[in-house]
Amino acid sequence: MTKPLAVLSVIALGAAGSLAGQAGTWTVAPAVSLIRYDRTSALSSTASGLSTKLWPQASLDATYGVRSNLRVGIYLGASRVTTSPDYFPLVLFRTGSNYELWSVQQRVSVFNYGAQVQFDLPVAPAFSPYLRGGVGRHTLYPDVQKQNAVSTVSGSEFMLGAGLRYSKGSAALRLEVTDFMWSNFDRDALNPVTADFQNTVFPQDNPKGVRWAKPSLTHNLRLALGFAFSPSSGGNQ
Amino acid sequence: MRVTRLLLSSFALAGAALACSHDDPVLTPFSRDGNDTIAIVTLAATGGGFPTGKYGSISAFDTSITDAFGRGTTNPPYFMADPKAGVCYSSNPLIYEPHKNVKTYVGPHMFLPALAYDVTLDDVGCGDAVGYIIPASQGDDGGAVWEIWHDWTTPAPDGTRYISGFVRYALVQRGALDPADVLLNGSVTANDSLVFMAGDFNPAGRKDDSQFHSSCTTSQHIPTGGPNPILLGGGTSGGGGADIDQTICANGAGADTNWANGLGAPNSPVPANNATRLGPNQYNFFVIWEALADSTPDYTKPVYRFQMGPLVDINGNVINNANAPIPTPPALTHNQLLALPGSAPARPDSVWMVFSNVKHLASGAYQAWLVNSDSGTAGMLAEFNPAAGATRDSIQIPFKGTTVASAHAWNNMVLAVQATAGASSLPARPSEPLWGKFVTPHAQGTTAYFAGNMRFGSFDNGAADSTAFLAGGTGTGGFFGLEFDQDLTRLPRPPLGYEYEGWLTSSSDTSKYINTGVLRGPGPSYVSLAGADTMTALPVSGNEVTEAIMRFTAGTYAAYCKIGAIDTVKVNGVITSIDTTVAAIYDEASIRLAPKGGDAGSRSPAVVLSGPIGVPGGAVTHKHECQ
Repeated sequence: MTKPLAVLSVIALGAAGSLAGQAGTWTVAPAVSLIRYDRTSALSSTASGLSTKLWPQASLDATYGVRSNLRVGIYLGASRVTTSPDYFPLVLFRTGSNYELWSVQQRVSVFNYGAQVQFDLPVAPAFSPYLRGGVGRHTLYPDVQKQNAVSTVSGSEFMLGAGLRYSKGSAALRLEVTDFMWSNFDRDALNPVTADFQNTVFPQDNPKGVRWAKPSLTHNLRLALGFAFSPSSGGNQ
Repeated sequence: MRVTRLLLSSFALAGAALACSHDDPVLTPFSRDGNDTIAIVTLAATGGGFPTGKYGSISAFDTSITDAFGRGTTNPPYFMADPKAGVCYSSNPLIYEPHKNVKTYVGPHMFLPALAYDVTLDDVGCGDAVGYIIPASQGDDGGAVWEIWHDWTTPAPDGTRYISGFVRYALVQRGALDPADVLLNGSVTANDSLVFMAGDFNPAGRKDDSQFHSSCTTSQHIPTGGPNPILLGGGTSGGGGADIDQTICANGAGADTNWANGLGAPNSPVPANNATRLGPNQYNFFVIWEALADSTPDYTKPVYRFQMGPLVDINGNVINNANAPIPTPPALTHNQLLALPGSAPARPDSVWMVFSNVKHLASGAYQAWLVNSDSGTAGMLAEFNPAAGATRDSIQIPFKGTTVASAHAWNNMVLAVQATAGASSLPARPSEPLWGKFVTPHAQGTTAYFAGNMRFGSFDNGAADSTAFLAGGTGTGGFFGLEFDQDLTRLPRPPLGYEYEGWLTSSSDTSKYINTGVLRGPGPSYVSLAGADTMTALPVSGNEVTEAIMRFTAGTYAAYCKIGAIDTVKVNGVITSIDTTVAAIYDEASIRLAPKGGDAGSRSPAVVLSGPIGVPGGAVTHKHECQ
């Protein structure tokens, strides 16, 4: 476990209470998590494996128990990410009689949200794994000054996840892995440089990620540790 | 609930703070080989040195006819108004020999006896060099006085005696007639000689100093009708020059009536310059000789000789094509000859071709073809390949013995680049970089003259898509680290059989160059553009190569010292000085067209884009790269 993940676990465990998966009740589940955006998205890095780039994300789920093992609700997540320069052509500036090449990156705010369904698979009174799935959208807000415009990048999102919940009273501790799948995400929309200034003069110097394929479905994997509580039961006081 | 609210509020505040943070660096400089500044090198379309070709039919120019070159006239040569009218004479026609300050006006010194030395006609107040023969009609005293006036500087010592006169020379021909030789070939192979006909040497006239009088009452009476030469006064040099200005009375008591005839008139001392036989009082040369002690001419020492009438043979018959003046090189062009009477009775029996900027081929050969693009037929004339390093070749081929029977059946002259020497047919889409139309095919046996300049491009057997090549496109880039790069856009599609190459060259030494190789397309494929002449896929689109790259790596910075300017001297990143002590070898980058089978080691002259990369013939201004 990485150091950030351990810190998050301590925070979450300290806040954990007990929660029963009861029908007819609302459950709220805030979480802090680490997300590894797809390696083709320009929100990660070209490195692979454990060297990949991870970003912290805050998320919040709210579900309503329609049956004892079935919950429906909404989810949302937010993160602040710096794009990787490994996916964009270098910027070519002309200064007097010289050229200069610069790599480009910018910070973007990433939001994802949608509706979800959660199935509980109780195997023990305190421990219950669960599966969740959903449909929503992702919206990215590029840096207004770098983009020189107020713009967003949005698209459809599909969500599949699985987790393990440890319940105690009306609160629970959750550890889950979720794949947020973005449909037809185009990383070039995050390039703040217009075509006129993109380097074509020294193409061999452009990062190799520029030429990476753009899959129709990108997989953004999140490892989240959070807690859940039921506001109607008074929560953990 | 308070804990919940506290947690949610904390998350919200943290998120808001994170979302609003704006202190991250957006750009970081990119460097290569420790260098992050690139001196820009821009290439622009120049379009020079493309292959060119000229061609024409050759007919046996018929010099047997009387005036094959069309030089005959009833007037003598240089029959004109005084070019400085009003200074010494009015504007009426006279013979003005020099036109300007020239040395002895004889054209090439082709007739023997050779001139002893050159004298130079000079200006003594008439506004230009003095070399006049003025008939009585133009002369003074109511048109009664001739004047023959020459003033010259001489390399001979002062006190040299000269004598002038009109002479009737006969020509002894050696080989080809000299005037015809000059007009056809530009030079003389064997000099003809000027001699006196048997019984036609009878000097008389005036040997004393010449005398100028504006009135017929005081002018000399010098008879014609017998003397040859007729001497027209003498003069002795002084101050580095000499002057003979002799006037002759044409009317009145004792006057020779022949002098009353104007220039070119029958019986005038200056004859018509045509095939009319010279009379006994007519002459075809004006000559100035050095004089012997008794003031008679030293016939072995002419110093000035002007032909003013037709040449005759030793029997006195006018020689064909020997009209005055003596022609000067160069030879008449084929087009000029085609317009002359000597071409009229002839039919083309061979063809000449001159090709320039054609590069030596490492394999294959150039072939000249005559093509009928209407019928699709073709006939090969000749095959050649310039020597390594040479870019010019010329051919003269008779139709006889080739697959081309005559000129009548063809309408295009074509230069093809064949992959195999000795090929006897053209491929389906041949490399035909030069072509020119000449005539609509004529029926066999008719005259079909042709001549013209060839166009450079893709003839493609006369197909509708035959296109002439025009230079275009742009390039930009520079030295970045150890590489020299150019991003090239919108280059014209090369002619069939040709490819683009990148070159680094020296403007001061044509033996210094680097062929950086055939251009490539952009990344990531960097496809070779050796096939850009026929490619149908990007980066070739329509008639353009939309994008291409030129790349060269010297390997070390030291090598770049020989290539050109890269950067200035920097200390801790600060420009401190410009070093001019290291001479550059290569100071120009260029994109050149070359035949695919061309010799990669020899520079193609066809430049499409070019630009300076340093100080021509000067110094590298970026010594830090050399250290």
